[in-house]
Amino acid sequence: MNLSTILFRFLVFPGLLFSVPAAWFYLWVERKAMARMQLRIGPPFMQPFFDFLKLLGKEVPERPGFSGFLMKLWPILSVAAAVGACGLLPVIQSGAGFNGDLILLLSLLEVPSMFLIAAGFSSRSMWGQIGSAREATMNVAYNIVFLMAIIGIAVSQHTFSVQSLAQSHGSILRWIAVLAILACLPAKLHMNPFSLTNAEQEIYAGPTTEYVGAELAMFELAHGLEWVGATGLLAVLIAPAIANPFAAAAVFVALSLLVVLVLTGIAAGTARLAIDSSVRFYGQCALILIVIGVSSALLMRIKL
Amino acid sequence: MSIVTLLLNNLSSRPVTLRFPQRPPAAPGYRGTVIYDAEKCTGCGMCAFRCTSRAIEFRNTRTHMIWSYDPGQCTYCGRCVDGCADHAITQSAECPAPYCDREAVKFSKTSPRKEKKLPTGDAE
Repeated sequence: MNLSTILFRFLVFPGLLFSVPAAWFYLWVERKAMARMQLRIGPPFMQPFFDFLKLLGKEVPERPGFSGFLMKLWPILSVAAAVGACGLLPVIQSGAGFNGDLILLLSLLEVPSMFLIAAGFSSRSMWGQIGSAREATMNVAYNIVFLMAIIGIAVSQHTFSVQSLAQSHGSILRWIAVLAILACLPAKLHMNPFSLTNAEQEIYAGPTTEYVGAELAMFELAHGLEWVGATGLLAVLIAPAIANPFAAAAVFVALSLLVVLVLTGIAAGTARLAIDSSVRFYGQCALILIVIGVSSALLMRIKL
Repeated sequence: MSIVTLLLNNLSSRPVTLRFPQRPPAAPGYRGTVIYDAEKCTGCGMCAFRCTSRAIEFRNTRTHMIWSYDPGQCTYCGRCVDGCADHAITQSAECPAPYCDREAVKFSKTSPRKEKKLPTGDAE
């Protein structure tokens, strides 16, 4: 592991230079696919980028006090954390990872969600606070499943390095975990049927109701980067080990887009669930998958 | 039909919406922008009289008649069209284009004043 490799991963691929355009592209794919499934024509290719530019040009009202400062801070930190999470994805076999980077990756993936909760409460808006409370509840519900799925694979492979995990051979346990992670992603990305956090037509924009201009643009970008990070994590777990860096990158993007399409299909085909039903889903249905996964992991460890 | 089949069918079908600035054809009787034909106008001023939103102003001078229209003020009710006995006012199937400057879309037409035609035929 040397400095140039680390800088390349965080600043070029799959970090800043790749993940920011990819975030807009994934958001476009999601919006376009959703529109086509609903018989609409959908937005033009550059629309998410133009939305970002338009928001940057809008006036942001002066918000005095510490809460005003926090409202400026949360979106920037969210973007930084999401870019960091993307940079940790071991798309190319470079040996730049370290044992324990899985924990860092999971934490960084969680940070935008945490800051979204904080943003809603900082805004002192009734709708923002309702959205934040919902996000916090959903966070607890899906994260039990999400973290147990990842830890299940990590325990079975005796490693907390993302690269080692990605290069290890696939097993039934891994596919169970992949299914469980896939079940968690709609909640993580605020998609139907778990779109309670920013339930449009219900609580305006949830935690970001009071956000405008550049602050909202940053939150939108952070959301796009969450798409890249979350779908990328799944793609890394599914993708076979490929030595050629260009082929590995192409497979990574293709698999990520496949995950985006699957999630969009789920969102288009379902309606929003109430908070109790959402929590029950993760409590009862998805947890079953994880119980199987963790017990298999432990059994595999005993056998070894 | 299951929702999955429906979504797959939608994916393979043509979208029913259009990309801006394309528009679907206007429905019959659609009340769009008011169009004034100075050739047909006899200067009775009935359009301005019937305009409840005060979008139409009509002024007669000794030599000219001035007809002014403000699409920003218009409610497109069609009362002016109904009241024009000379069919000098019609409504197109187009709605006015988006605008930022309200003054820029105001329309005014000055034409020579015409002698008022007396009704012909048998008097009762």
